Amino acid sequence: MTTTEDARPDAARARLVEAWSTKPGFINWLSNVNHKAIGFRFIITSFIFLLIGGVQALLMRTQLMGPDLDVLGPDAYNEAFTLHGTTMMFLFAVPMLEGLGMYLVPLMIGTRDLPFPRLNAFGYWLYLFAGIFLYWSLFTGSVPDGGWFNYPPLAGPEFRPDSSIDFWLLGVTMTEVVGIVGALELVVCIARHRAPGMTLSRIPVFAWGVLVSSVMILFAFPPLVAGSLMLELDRKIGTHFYNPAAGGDPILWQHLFWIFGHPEVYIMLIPAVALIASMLPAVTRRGIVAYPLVVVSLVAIGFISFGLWVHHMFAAGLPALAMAFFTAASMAIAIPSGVQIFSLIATMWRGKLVWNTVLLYVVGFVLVFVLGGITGVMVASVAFDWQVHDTFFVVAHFHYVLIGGVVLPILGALHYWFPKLTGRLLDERLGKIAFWLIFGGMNLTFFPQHILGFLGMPRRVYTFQSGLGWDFYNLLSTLGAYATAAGFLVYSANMAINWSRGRPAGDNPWDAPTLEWATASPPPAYNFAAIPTVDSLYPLWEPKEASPHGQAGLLDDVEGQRREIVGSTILDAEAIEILELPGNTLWPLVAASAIVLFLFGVMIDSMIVGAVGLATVVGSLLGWLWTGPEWRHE
Amino acid sequence: MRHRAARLAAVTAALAGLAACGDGSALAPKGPDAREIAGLWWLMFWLGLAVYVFVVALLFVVLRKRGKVDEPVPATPREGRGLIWGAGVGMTTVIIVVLVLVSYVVGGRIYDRRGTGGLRVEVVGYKFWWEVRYLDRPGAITANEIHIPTGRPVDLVLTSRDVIHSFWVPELAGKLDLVPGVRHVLSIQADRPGEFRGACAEYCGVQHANMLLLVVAQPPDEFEAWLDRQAQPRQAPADPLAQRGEEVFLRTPCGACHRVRGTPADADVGPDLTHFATRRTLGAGVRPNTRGHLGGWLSDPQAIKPGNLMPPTKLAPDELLALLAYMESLT
Amino acid sequence: MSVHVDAALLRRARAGEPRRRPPVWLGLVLGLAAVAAVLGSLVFSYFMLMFHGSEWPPAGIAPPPLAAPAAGLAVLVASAVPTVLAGRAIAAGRQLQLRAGLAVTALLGLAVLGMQARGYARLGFTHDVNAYTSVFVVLSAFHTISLVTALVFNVATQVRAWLGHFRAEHHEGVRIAALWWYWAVVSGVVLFATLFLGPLIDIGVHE
Repeated sequence: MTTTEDARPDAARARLVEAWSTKPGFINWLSNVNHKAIGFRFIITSFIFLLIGGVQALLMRTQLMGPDLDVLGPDAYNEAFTLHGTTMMFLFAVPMLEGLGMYLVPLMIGTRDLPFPRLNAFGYWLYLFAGIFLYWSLFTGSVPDGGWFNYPPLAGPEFRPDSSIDFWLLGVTMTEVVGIVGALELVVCIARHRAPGMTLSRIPVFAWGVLVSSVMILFAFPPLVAGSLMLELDRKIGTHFYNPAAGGDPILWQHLFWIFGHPEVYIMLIPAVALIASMLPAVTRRGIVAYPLVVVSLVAIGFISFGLWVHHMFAAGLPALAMAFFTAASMAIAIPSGVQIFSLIATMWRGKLVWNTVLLYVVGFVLVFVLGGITGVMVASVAFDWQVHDTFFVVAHFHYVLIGGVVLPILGALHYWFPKLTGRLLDERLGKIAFWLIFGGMNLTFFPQHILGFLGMPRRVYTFQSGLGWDFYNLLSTLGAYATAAGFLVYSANMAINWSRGRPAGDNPWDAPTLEWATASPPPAYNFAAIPTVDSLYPLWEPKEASPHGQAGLLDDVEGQRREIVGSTILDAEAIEILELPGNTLWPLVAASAIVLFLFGVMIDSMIVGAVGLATVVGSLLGWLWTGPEWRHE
Repeated sequence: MRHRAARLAAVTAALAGLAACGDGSALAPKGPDAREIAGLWWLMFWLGLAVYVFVVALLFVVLRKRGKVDEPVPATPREGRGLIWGAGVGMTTVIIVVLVLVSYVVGGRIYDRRGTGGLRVEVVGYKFWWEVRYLDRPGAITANEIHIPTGRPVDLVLTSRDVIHSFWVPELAGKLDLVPGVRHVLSIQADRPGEFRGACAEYCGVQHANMLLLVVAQPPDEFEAWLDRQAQPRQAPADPLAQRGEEVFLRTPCGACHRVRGTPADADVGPDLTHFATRRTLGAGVRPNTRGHLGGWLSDPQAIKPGNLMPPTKLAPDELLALLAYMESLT
Repeated sequence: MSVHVDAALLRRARAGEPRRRPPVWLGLVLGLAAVAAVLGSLVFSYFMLMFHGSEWPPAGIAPPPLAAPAAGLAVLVASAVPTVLAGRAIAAGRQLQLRAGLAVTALLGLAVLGMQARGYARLGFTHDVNAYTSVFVVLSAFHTISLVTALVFNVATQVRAWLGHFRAEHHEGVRIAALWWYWAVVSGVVLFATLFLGPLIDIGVHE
């Protein structure tokens, strides 16, 4: 199918370029608010954090290669596992998936940008600063070491009077805010800016996944924000929310954390599974089987996941009846997950498979995630969990579901959409080598850990004694970690080499069916020369009767230098209005910097710095709002 | 090829299962709670293995379907429903219902055993050791080593003086947290005499890894004898070197943190040492309780367990020897 | 975002169909949902702490008064009325009533803030005595901050109203400020129920 570019007059296209592009230059780069630029930055930054988290994992596994080693002392090890978990969960997984969402969703649903571009840019800067803020603790020598879950009283004012935990609380809260504003933006985009004709049953599965996880974020992240606020108040101004000596309750933190924490893992899983479902048509040459069931099960997983959190607290002494409910709910979520897996298998059943790196990641996902899902059903049983809770069995379980269910899909997605983002193809051979190293490596790393859990090895231990029968499995696990690391090196090298020297990709190298493949690679700043009308779930596989450039698409020209997108109705995607978006601006960067300044003042107990920071936040918000298009009345 | 892959999965799982039954393992249970949980595990294991082999087999059937790249086809509406509803929903639901019911039964039986043995032991978590008090025998206080009689459930009343810890002896039972400000009850029972290793299972700070413990199960009469002994204050040392050692103990900071019943030292900052010589390990399981290790520990506990709350003690060599003789006399 | 209407584009729209709310309104609703979830978590914490202890308020702390807070709540709820009227006024193009409605809302809001200040002064405890005082002060502060934020939006909107930014067909700013005000009112109702009616629940633990 030819793109909608062809028949556009050059002058109109030149005006589109003029209105939407960002010229070169450092200030222009800082003020860029386009969703592709911001999404790209999220992807690159989160990939770097993935590698950093991986280095921490490698250090930990090296220390645990054998008994009584001294590679990392207890402080360093405890800091390493805290940073590893915090980096992977807060600085890699959700930002990467949101970044992929920010980049791909507007393209997939046929619009030109996210509806609040400045908010989007603000989110990126705050994310970058949050990561720097957290890692600044390495320079001050007060690295958080309370674990990624940060339980009081250990993380409270009595046992951690230094600033280490404050770095964690404030840094993580910043990432929560980033998640929330990103989610808000994606929901509004998918709800109100789809191309005309893209009814609910024609929305690509990845967009559904992003929609579900974004709504989940709006309700799951706030409990941790509230809990972190209360812990920071305990630490800074002497409140007693978690202090048992004054009527407080440390278990309250656990409830709030896990009311966030359980949906969090599904916030990561749902878009990742949706990524797999989005890539599958291109490699099986047919559409998703049972699309309605796939979508409904994504929504069901989203709902049910809010009712599982106590399964992280089965050893905390809660009443038996309450825990029994959570066993049933935690096992029940396997049903919609099963629907997902068998839909994917059914899709492959009737297809003609294209045996490439992307397919390898799809298969790897099924093999690894299903095993993790099975051990997940096991640990949902209260009695069984009493043995394996807080042991390496659980570490094995969640790495299987997270690597299988989140990391492998992301690696596959990066491989699949790399041509669209950069215009170059990745090398297939390197891609396959990287896959096998990572797949084989992670199995070697984590399978033996199930055994270690039964043999009595708890989590979060910086060393273990010899003579317990643990040595061999720890050694295997460490060897696996090194193999996995090698795989990530090959994967990164593949991207680095082919970034500017890979084979040109063309618009649609996979012959895939969704709208993002109808643009150039990489897409022009304005995405589509005209907003397309959609009448199928697979628009590029089912070309309309009339030639696309015979129709007048919407917004095929620009009025007065304005960036415009179409507003459509929520259910039927009927075009009803045209909205103007703001252009490039520095206010989001200023606002994000002001927030960091304010939190820094809180951190160092300085009223002056905090007050200046707060004033700057308010000022920058006013400047932001005052200079936007909505204040120019007509 | 699909048969081989499925068989590979099955064999790996079987080997892993065997490996996990090593000594000290939760799968080599020595008490009724651990045994019930192990039974539940094996049920889940076989069901899980069957599901996994099924999925792997399906996948390998599917993966043999390579063909030339055809014109793509959107899925027809009725496709795949059998597999999705049958396997995805039906098979999953049946397995889950079974596991939920069995899980409830096992959990219920574990709860029912609590409170039936008539013996209560308070276990208090500290950073990084365990205080053990026999509530039915006033004065019987020890640390890091819990003796129980065989053949009946013992109620452990768990709490903490600082952060959250967790009590776990895999061969006997599941774990339960020690939370400051609350008291939880965990029941453990050993069928036969033996020594069972335990560990703290909730990250509690820098030396969480070395907060270990031992449960020693003895025949009831041996247990009673042991308990009687523990309830006694210390026997005054007969040996002059040991007497000097007690004097050193009371003069130096030792007596400011540790209690030895029968002497003026009565603090509970650190473990009760009244019958220290009867314990098999020191430092909460970090070293065996031998003269050499004890000498190293007393001189500089930070070298062995860095970050624990016991500071090094400056002792002249003869003072150390006297103190060692004293500690060995605390039987 | 500003919105303009492309007459050709709306050819299919039925005549007289009411204007739909712009996407930024949906964004604000979602943002407020997240803020509401924070409030919900704080309320959850209040009740968890209540049922964790044996006495609520704990010994030594007097139970909270009802009369003065109820009066403040009444004024707060009443302040929603001029906001509604202001919205209706501008939808019919009446600029003067818009400005009056916004101004009366602000005055009532300031009155509530004044009553809250008086309440803080008469608390009889500070935040750092025990868990009850901590959760009481922090939840109250949450509402005070919500109200102050709503006031800032209201004042900014009043300034714009005086500058003549709003018309009958185009007054999203008024709708958005109104949404913030309703949030301040609703969160006030929830927090009143939690802080002042909550302690009336018998937690069933008697010494």
